[in-house]
Amino acid sequence: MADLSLQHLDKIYDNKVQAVFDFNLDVKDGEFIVLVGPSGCGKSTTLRMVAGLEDITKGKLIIDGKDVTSMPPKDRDIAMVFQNYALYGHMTVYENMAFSLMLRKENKNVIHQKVMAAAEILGLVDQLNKKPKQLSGGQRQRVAMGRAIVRQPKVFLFDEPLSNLDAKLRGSMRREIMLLHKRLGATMIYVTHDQTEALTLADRIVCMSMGYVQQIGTPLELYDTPANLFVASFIGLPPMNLFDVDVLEDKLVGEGFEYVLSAEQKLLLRNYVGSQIVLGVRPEHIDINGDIDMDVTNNENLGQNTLVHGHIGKKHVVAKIRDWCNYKPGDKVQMKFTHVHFFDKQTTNAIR
Amino acid sequence: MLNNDKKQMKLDRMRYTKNAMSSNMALLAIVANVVYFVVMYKINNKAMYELMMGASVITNLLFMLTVFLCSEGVKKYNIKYAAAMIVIGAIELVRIFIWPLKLHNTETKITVPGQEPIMTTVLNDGQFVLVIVLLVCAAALLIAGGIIGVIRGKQLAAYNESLKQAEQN
Ligand SMILES: Nc1ncnc2c1ncn2[C@@H]1O[C@H](COP(=O)(O)OP(=O)(O)O)[C@@H](O)[C@H]1O
Ligand SMILES: [Mg+2]
Repeated sequence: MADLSLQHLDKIYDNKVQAVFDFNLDVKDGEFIVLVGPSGCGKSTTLRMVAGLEDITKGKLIIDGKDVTSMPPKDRDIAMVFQNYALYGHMTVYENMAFSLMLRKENKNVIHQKVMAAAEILGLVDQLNKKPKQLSGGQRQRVAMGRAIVRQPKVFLFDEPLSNLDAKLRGSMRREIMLLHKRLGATMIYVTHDQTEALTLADRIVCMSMGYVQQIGTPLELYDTPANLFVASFIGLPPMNLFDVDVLEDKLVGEGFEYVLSAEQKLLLRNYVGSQIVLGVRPEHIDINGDIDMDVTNNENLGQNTLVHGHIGKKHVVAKIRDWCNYKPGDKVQMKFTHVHFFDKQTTNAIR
Repeated sequence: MLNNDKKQMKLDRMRYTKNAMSSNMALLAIVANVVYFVVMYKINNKAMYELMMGASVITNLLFMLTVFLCSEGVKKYNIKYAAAMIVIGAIELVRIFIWPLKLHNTETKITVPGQEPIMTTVLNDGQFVLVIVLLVCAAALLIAGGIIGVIRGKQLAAYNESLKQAEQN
């Protein structure tokens, strides 16, 4: 178990591509950090720098107060679980899990205890004599995690460990990883492009785009107070609806609707009067019985709630109504916005 | 760790690890046997051909095949394969008294041009000792590996049985 400090990390690959810019993060002992962002934003690169699989071009990596920036991976006491499992096909599950300890020449009985304990935690005791190809995807992923657990590392790193699994299994494995984290109390850094995984797993989320950190915060912070347009549209499903609006003294005017400002909001936007900003509304913050016309194009019942797709003005909008609705394409529904976000159009930052 | 715990854990470990020792001993026995027949077949003498070279080749091939099968079997603590290893080990000892002894007792004449012909045996004393050592090695490896295999196989079977009992109660 350990705390980590990533200080001003830069990564420039040999081909001069800069994948990570000035990455700063302090991870507390036992914390579950999720790096989230679209494919190619530099998540894996950051994780691999922590693991020592990539050189750190600039910056410092501190683990437990010790500078490990240029330390080889094997000395960092870190275990990494990959998306493709990387299991040894000719070895049994038991041997796969025991292998790294055998390389370290640990006592066979000690190895046995550790492997059995990990197998117990992961529910793999009955599979120990099987080869990886006799296992399901979820079981293979568990073996990959077991291999990390037996080493009792200071830090666990996961690079999209669930993306090869089908949706249902992903859900159950997500819960297992949560339990595992609770049980081991270990520091974990987890990479994913799936914002649902990030919201459900993380103590804190690091949201990245194009090599830059966009926001660091708890899931609720990122959901409630996104720092900029990128975070606002990346976190939340379906994504936030964004409208270009003109700011007047006491209201916002968008194409096909007006939004009346409260006293507080007027104060917040006093410097933007006469200019354009971006108004963000999450689907779950759109409700019926308002005065904004929406032309319905599609009605998706999800059971507990209904996704109503349509247009406000020319803009495509999704509303999530907490009811079973039966709108038909062509229906006009009167909507209202119950909670909104404002973003500066130039800087894309949230106006707070 | 208590001694008893250690024993218990060793038993438990066997459920998930191979009997590499017996298996490796069988493979080493094959190596010793290969060296043995290389030595035998290097003896370029007509007497060898007369003494049914073909039967010897087949015996050696058969030996290697069965011992290899045994090495795979004992890996999984199979008692039958371990017993087979012991039997084959005994046969290796008996082999000393067939071709090697016969060839050691068969006289032959070596003629070098310009010199008096020398009388000697097909297998000279040095070769005979070497061959005996190789066969005894192979036999020892097989018998020891087989005995270890039988003991461990019985231990594991008993342990598995006791686990089954415990589960039923
Ligand atoms: N070995 C490499 N050499 C050069 N460029 C790389 C290498 N690995 C990744 N990149 C580039 O770095 C960027 C970030 O990649 P990566 O960290 O793998 O993204 P992510 O894991 O977020 O999808 C991408 O633009 C990718 O093309
Ligand atoms: Mg990646």
